[in-house]
Amino acid sequence: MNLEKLNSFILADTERCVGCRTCEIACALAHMEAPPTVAGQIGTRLVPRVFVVNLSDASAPIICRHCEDAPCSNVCKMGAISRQGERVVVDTDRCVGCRLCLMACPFGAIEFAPLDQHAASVFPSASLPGAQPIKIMYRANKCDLCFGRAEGPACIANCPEEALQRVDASKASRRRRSVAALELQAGHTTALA
Amino acid sequence: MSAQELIRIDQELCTRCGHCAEVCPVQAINSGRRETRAVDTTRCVKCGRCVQTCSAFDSLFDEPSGRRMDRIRERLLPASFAEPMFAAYDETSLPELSAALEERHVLSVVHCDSAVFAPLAEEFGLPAGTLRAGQVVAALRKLGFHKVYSNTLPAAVSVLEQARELVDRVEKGGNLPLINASCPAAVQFIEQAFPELIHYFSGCRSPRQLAGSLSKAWLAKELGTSAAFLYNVSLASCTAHKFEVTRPELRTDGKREIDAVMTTRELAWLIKREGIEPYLLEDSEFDAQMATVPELWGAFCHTGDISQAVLATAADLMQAKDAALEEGSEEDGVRHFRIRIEGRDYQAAAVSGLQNAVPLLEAARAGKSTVRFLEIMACPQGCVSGGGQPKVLLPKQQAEVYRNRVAACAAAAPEARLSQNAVIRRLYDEVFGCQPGDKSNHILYTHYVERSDDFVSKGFMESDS
Repeated sequence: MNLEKLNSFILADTERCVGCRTCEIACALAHMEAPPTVAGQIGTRLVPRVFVVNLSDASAPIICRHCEDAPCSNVCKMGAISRQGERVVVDTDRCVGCRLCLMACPFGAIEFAPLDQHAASVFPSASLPGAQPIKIMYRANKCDLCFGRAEGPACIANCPEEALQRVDASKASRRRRSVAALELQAGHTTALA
Repeated sequence: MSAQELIRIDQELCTRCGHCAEVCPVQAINSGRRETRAVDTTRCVKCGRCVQTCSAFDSLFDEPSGRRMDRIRERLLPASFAEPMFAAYDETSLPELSAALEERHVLSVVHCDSAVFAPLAEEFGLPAGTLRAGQVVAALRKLGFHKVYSNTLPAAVSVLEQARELVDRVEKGGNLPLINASCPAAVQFIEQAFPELIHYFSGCRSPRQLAGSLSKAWLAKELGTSAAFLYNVSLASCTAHKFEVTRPELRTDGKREIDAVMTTRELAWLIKREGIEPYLLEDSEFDAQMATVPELWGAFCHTGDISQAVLATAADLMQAKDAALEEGSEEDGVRHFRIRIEGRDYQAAAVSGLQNAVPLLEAARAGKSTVRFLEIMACPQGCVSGGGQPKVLLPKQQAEVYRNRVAACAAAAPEARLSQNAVIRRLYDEVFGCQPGDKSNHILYTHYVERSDDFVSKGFMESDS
């Protein structure tokens, strides 16, 4: 049997994170067709896929964990959320905006975002007198680990505090075990002394 | 609203991250961990670094959608405003500007700082420098400005006056270094933190202010009208200039010289509001009454441009043949220049960032400075990176974007022989009736104010105690 490795995900260090939202901006820009460099180039609302939570004494972006048995994928009636390699991704063409995944995600890592912000300009008839205004469609919107971005996830690269890292779960647990073993050894030495 | 409160932090959007406090050169923003941020308006020099740095934007997922329209109204922005809004922002002059452009009985005049032109293209998704100057002039005319001038003539006058002052101080033993007063944030910083040095400033107004005083004292007559009917707009890359124009000491006969400042971003907002596509426009020329000095177009965008022009012009005034301008190595945000005139070394230091200027100012205060001309620019690369320029979204891209802007501006033009320029000579002979360096010329000269009391009591500079 061919065992795939555990999905990796992006994790924030709450000690370092100051809640500045630069990761949200970097994320939104990375998912635009021609990423703008200055604010004035942007003509629509920014749509990030990471969500910074600012509490009184801590802050961190909440980002999809790319769960192994992903509840969002399990509840989706349209088969719009699937596992592709080591990521859990939304197919926005299949998504009907039912919001079940939003309710199922234990982390709140899914938001519904207007993915057709340009609809009005795409359909000029919408601006004719008497036309029904176009309803902007909201679709499931979550981290895709910056699929296709050669440099890797934009949020990690742009965090001014270097508070974000991509966690490879099996490596992380091996590291934890090493630290625990060292502590054990230190504790043992102290106990004997 | 007082001009003191120009820079603000919106408490609804502030994430308390503190990046604004980190870039504030005068510690005008509280810096404790996880504190709500506020601007100490008396300390603030309005450089706009915080505005350029803030990343706390109005997230779609945090607020009801109506809140954004309310905020656009509260900040007096046009309803067409579509870009993200950030917690740190500078108050806009758009309502006054729009009203003046619709007023029938005024002649609206815009004086253009060339540092605005190259970065403006970025607002339209184009690389810096790809909009032609003529296209920007055409856009300004479409917006309703009656007269559009480049402020290269005021810049040339300011360089000439400073070169004269420099030579006079060196020869007659005046206060050295001569401190350039073009950057209004640097002027306010020195008034507050180094009040002993205000007599080291050049007495000549900044080029942007000179544009206003020349306009009201002379241009109005050339245009066959009275100064009272002239509405002077200064198109600049600078937020601190908005405070500068309100200074009582920069008035002529009790009247403000510049009626409104329009930053690069404000110009872009107006162009977008009117649906103008500047990249499609045919070129239009600057108006001729206040002549353009072509050698200076595109200069003064980058720290060090003024130093080079002043040193070269000093050599020109002294008719020093074969005087070659040398540039030394750059370190800690300071560029060094040197020229040898009649056996004397003239050294200039050009500093980016107010904190980088502190060692040089301390040396000057202690009488130990070897520099004869000191240029201080508050922003990281001078005016191309000004507080009113297009806002770079990601901090890690800032340096590269600023470098591209510098590359898109013309290099300094130390070879410009301003004292020989026919337009400038005519201005001195026929309008001022005096020669460069005459301090009685009230169109050109001003004074500065010690603002130290507040700062000393707050322990602004540790070395003061």
